[in-house]
Amino acid sequence: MNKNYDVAIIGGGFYGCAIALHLSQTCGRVTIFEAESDLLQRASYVNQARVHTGYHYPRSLQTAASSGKNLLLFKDLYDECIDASFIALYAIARSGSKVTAGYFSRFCRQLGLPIRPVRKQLRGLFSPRLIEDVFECEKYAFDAAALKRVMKRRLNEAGVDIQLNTRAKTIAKHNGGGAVVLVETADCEVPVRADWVYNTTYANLNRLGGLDQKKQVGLRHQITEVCLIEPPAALANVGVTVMDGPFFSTMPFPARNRHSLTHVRYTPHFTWHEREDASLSPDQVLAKYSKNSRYEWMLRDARRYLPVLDEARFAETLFEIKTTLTDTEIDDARPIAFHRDLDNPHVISVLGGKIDNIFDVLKVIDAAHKVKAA
Amino acid sequence: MDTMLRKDAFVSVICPARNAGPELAARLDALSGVLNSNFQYYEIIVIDNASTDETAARMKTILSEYKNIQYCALSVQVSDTAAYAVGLCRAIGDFIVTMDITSDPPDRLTDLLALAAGGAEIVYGLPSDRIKGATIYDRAARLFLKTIARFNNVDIPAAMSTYRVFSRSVLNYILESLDHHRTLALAPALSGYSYKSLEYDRLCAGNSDARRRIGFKSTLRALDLLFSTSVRPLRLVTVFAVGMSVLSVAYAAYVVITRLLMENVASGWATLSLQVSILFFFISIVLAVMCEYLLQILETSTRRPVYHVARELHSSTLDYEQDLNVRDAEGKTAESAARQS
Repeated sequence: MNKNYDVAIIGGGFYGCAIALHLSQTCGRVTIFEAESDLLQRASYVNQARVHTGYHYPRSLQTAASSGKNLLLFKDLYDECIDASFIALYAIARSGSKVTAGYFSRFCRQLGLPIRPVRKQLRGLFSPRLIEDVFECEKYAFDAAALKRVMKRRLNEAGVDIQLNTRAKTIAKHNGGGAVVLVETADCEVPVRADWVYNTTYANLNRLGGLDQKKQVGLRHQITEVCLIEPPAALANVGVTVMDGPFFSTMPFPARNRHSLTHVRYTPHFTWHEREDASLSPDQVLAKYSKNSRYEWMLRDARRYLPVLDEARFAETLFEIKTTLTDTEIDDARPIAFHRDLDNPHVISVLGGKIDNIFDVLKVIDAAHKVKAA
Repeated sequence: MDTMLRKDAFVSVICPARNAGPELAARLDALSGVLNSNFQYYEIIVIDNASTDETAARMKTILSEYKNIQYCALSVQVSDTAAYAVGLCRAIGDFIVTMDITSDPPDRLTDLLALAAGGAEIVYGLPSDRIKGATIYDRAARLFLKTIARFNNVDIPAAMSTYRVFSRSVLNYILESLDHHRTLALAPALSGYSYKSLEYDRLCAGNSDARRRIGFKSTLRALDLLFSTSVRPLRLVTVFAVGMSVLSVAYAAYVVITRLLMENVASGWATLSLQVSILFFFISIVLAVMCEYLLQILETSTRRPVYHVARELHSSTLDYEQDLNVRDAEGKTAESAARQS
């Protein structure tokens, strides 16, 4: 055994890094294994860059309420990664929306979310026939590139050992307590022992060998496409979300200094439920996928509601896997999965959700570690 | 066909289906094949008009095999035109195609679209049996459409079916009016854009033949279209009412004259007749005035566009001679050089 850690974290996305940072305060030696050549490369980077304020979940009060609470914590910790310079608009579609404008504004007031009627020149951008009402809200985007810089700096300061290009293959029980992770680098395979192992590989959560297969979390994967556009001048400083149904959203994507364009109907390319005997890992499915952009569909639908989008220019498109628990499809709630291995309670799988919900996970982790200490 | 639609044009095909039967899969397969080989971007919107057969289950399989299909199942059955309207509200394309999936041939789609590419904002498909007047229904339908077109002062081919293509600008016009689900047969024509038409042979239709028969339902459909597209019938009532009032006055005059000039008029006749004619006079006036107001209310409540701007151009003259400080080799200003070329 040539290496020994208190905590080993598999997967250097935002959740993995945040957990590493948190545990480094109490647990001694912490390491992160990241298969990519840098941290925060995958789903932490390719998403709508939203910091949720709760407006987005009018049908799940609990998610909305916890979003509002977590936002404050997130703003506190990652202030330098947050872009609050744009006007966030929520537009309620007249037909096909699951909420009405009246319900939406009542809901926001009930939760104490700031909401104002939209200024006139911005209302004029929307089709009056298709949009019932528009509200100005307080919402933020995060800069994934800045978040990566901040994370790296803090991890280095905390003395966390970051091992890039290192893929964890299996986890085995260790007789002296804790677990052994077999990691693979470019040239060799090394077993690493750790007291606690966190599996934060998101889409590939179930692909790690050695976990109790039968009791794993049910995962639902989705190949999603986020288009990046050069926004028309009128929207340069504006983020728009049309609620609440098969509509679209276009918001600043600070990491590339562009706008993202996503559409409820066209962003998800296809969905599958992970079976235990699946021959391809989600990453392999993504690599094999044809990746034909649906930009034309998204834009054409979006510009019916927001004709000014006609002047948008296509820049590039990003494909990524979005993974959720199988039982959250009914409403918008996306609780975070926290799963302790039955054979080995020191091996914990965490399925990340929205980026600002990390604090709920940290609380649960603290509780898990405290039980052990007592 | 010489002109072809740009390959990057976006085509939306709307096909309502009600109990379309097992052929649905084959028809959608053919349609999808045509679109896929001709266009990069397209969508097929299938509106299930509350089918009671296995349409939903069939569509589920179809959706897993073909791309770019949207399926909307309606909870209660609505009129055919309303089912089309569901699709029109969802269509995102530059060119909108409406077709009866059970009887319109998908392989003629490219011909229709080629005509649209040639500059026609509306292209009507004309079924050959309708042109020939194969059945009484076909002949009656043609006559009806011709009449209703004259009523509305629009130009349409009387043999048209619902197999049509129109551009986004026509669609925008159609969606402006609130009752477009009623007026759909005539709605593209009401926009006033130019059209072309194309003859085609209907596929042997399953249950859609049943709809093409003279009967109670088709009469109701016709009346619905007549009264929703045109206010002429209401105008007619006004004219009639005014005529009635004039007649009432004339009759009253006749009664008075008769009473004064004739000797043996039955007692009470004059009073009764005067009473009736005066009453009729007032009723007719009230009817005429109310009809006129009703007309205005109709116009406002359906929000049918009063006018439609088809094209907008601005004068491109300069209101002063621009003297640019740039001269080319021959000493002319760049401005005048540009104007010469």
